[in-house]
Amino acid sequence: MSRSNLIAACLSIALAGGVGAQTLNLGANSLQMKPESLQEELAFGKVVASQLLGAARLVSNPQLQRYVNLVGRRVADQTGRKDVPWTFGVIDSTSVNAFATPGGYILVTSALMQVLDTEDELAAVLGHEVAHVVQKHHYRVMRKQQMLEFGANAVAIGGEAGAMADKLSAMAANVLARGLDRAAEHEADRDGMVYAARAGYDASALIRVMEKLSAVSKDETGKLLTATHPSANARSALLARAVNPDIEKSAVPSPAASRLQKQFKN
Amino acid sequence: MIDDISSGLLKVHFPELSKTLKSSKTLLLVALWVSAAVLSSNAMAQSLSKAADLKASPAPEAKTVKSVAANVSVKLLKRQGFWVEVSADGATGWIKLSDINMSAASGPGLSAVDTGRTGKGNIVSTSAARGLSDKELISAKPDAQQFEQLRALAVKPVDADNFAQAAGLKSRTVALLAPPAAGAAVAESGSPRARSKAAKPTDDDEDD
Repeated sequence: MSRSNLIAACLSIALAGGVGAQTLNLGANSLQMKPESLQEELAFGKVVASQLLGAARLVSNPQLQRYVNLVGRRVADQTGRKDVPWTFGVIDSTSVNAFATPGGYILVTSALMQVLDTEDELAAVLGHEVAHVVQKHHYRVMRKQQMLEFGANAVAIGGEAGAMADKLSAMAANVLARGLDRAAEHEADRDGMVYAARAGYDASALIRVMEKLSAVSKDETGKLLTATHPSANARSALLARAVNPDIEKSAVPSPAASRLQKQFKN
Repeated sequence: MIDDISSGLLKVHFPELSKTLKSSKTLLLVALWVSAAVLSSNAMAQSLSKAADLKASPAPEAKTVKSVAANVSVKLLKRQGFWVEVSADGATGWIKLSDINMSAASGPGLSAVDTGRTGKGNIVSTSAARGLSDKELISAKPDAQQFEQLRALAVKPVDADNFAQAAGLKSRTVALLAPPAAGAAVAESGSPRARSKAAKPTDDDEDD
């Protein structure tokens, strides 16, 4: 990593909290960013998802892939975003993790699928990832980082020609490896819980997932997830304090809970 | 490059620790020490973030079994929804999950709650048996063909509706949640702000 890239990476960590701003203030200079667009978001999503899939391939189990897409789509349809092509995939990896990319491409590892016991828990995980996309968390981090790294040349990216595409892939990998700031993760927890509840799933299943992640955090399989997220206990604690009587009514196992077990865990 | 990133991660998450770490050997030792601390703390009881009433069942209107002070240690028995059954002061009852001091660095938190099965049953036969570390993400070559396969997996909303109906899933109207007030001991007072006003599952979802 070159020195300037490293500086840019560090800056983007500091900037990640202020998502949504259209102008970067770099000391005396400020750079105007071009407006957000679905086209750019999808282009970024393609780069990030392709990078992830280069590290871990899709599991060849069409029934499972379809099942995860049906649960994910059900949850995603509870959000305000109808413009992205919500797409879900299970990737082959022994690491327990899930990833959201700009544009609605969401990947869950086979090791995480292994840890989940019910469709409610799967919906909780997918709800969290869907919320990252709705809030454009990764998209906005990438836009800022792009601006910092490429400045005025940033306009040329999106059309992925040669060296620029390589740089964008490297940037995507860095964003995945570094993760978002804590506030963005807690926001995705709260919103994701609500989306799952709206879809008819058990709102408290996300707490159950946290209990499982807390156990995994101590071993190798949870390493990257632990490095890129607040602790599972802290996440549970904040969720517990955010719930209200409205969502507490949704904290019951759904009639679909056993479907994951019945169809895929014999 | 990798070292730059992992030490960056360390600085973000454990600023004071990263200063003192000079070699990966030290890192390993610290990692071992940390996991030992977690194990030994598992035997410890949990504390409450504030005084709470033990309820006979997991509901606010349930009969109070006993009132417990904030500093009394409690043992977590099981969780149901956003409620936890605990034993404290020789009594057993239900308290709200938010009454437990889970953020305490020394406590085991929810991992101490026994909620039955975890991840049993073989869902996918993992052929590659590979992990997914920051190193692997960074060294990976993008796979455009796999991306096209991924795109082909998307389903239509109508299929998701039918799938939900087949299991008897019922849509609910639930407002987005406001972030809890800063400061650990603050009670959930005051009304949730702007975000939770709109109960419709549409237009309130973006904060643009």
